Amino acid sequence: MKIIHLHQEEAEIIKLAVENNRQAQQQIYGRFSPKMLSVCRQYIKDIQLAEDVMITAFMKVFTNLNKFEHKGSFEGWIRRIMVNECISYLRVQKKVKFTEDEIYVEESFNAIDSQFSIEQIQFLIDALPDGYKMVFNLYAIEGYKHNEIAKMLGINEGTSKSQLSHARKMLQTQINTLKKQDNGTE
Amino acid sequence: MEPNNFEKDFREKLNQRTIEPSNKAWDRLDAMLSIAEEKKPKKNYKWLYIAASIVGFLLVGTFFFNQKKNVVETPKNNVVIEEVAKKDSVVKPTVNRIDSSKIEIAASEKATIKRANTKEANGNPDVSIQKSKQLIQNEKNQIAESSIIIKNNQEKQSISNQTSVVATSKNENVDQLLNTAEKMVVAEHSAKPKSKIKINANDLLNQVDGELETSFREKVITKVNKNYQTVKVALANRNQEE
Repeated sequence: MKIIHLHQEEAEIIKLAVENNRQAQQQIYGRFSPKMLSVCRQYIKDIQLAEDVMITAFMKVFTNLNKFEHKGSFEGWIRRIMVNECISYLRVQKKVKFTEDEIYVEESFNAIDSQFSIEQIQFLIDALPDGYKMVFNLYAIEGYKHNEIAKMLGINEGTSKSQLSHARKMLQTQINTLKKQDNGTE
Repeated sequence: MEPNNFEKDFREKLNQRTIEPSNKAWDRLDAMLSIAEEKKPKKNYKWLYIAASIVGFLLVGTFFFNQKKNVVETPKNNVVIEEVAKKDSVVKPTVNRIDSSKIEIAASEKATIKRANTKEANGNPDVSIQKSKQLIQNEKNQIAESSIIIKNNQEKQSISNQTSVVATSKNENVDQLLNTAEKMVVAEHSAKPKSKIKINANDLLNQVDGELETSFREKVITKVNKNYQTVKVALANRNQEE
């Protein structure tokens, strides 16, 4: 019952926000901006730039709100706009180029059980080159498939797979060094 | 795909993470939304102008359409008068038959006689209508063309005071003759169909309509031109203002 009530409330707020009701817009912003800034931060290391991208993405959310069909989750819809905005930012501003090697090796990783803090995780992701980072975020965190990623980034599916492979390999070595550091301090 | 524990761990933790944006962020978004809103109404006003001009044209169109109806109604009245005139003519032909030599005499007071005749005709509507029908049947060929009818009317009008004055002595004879003639014509008329009269009336109406419509079209063209010029000027001014 509570969920239904919340859903109705959300639909009501969206309806008001479509009509440019500033209070409703602020309510939506207040509810989702912390999570969405976190999403943007995954892709963009500079928190200030991440916030800029989040604001432009929210602009797109509000100007296209009438196109939201209430089919999927509202958060998922906003999140997709955020991710697309981050990708276009990285591609346009940073001119990310993907090395077009289609040879990828699906390596079996050692199961890493160790738990990392969120700061450590972000640190590891930040260390990745933008191309690797995008594919890794889209595949491992957002759950997109390689053909979807290929479409979003305008690359071949093979390139997407090789980028992920490279990203994983890089993360693996970094995790290992972190582990060693941790063991060393202990 | 193989399960990568660290990826699962990453996903869970990243999805739970929230980063509170700076206070300025909402203010900036607010300002951007305001700018976007200001832009939108301008576009809407443009549509309003277009919509208003369309509504204006429609109004002008309906105005002229209604005017056309009024124009159509007036000929009907004329026709009624003509019919009345025809009723008068019932008396006249009989008079003509009686005093055929005096028909050509014309006088200025014909109109007054006519009016009197029309009043009489109105007083006995049934009789007068029958009379008119009879007359029309008698003069089918003449009624077929409006011009001929007008001529007939003129002829009818040409009944002078003199004829009436002279006829006063013969009034009794004339009345008797009239009555007999009426009876005869009624007898004839009852045997014949009445439909032809209506067709003639329609022809008349159509002819009059045709004449009136040409002038109406000219009016419409001039008025539409005027309206077009005003709209054009308004649009030009609006563009300059912008």
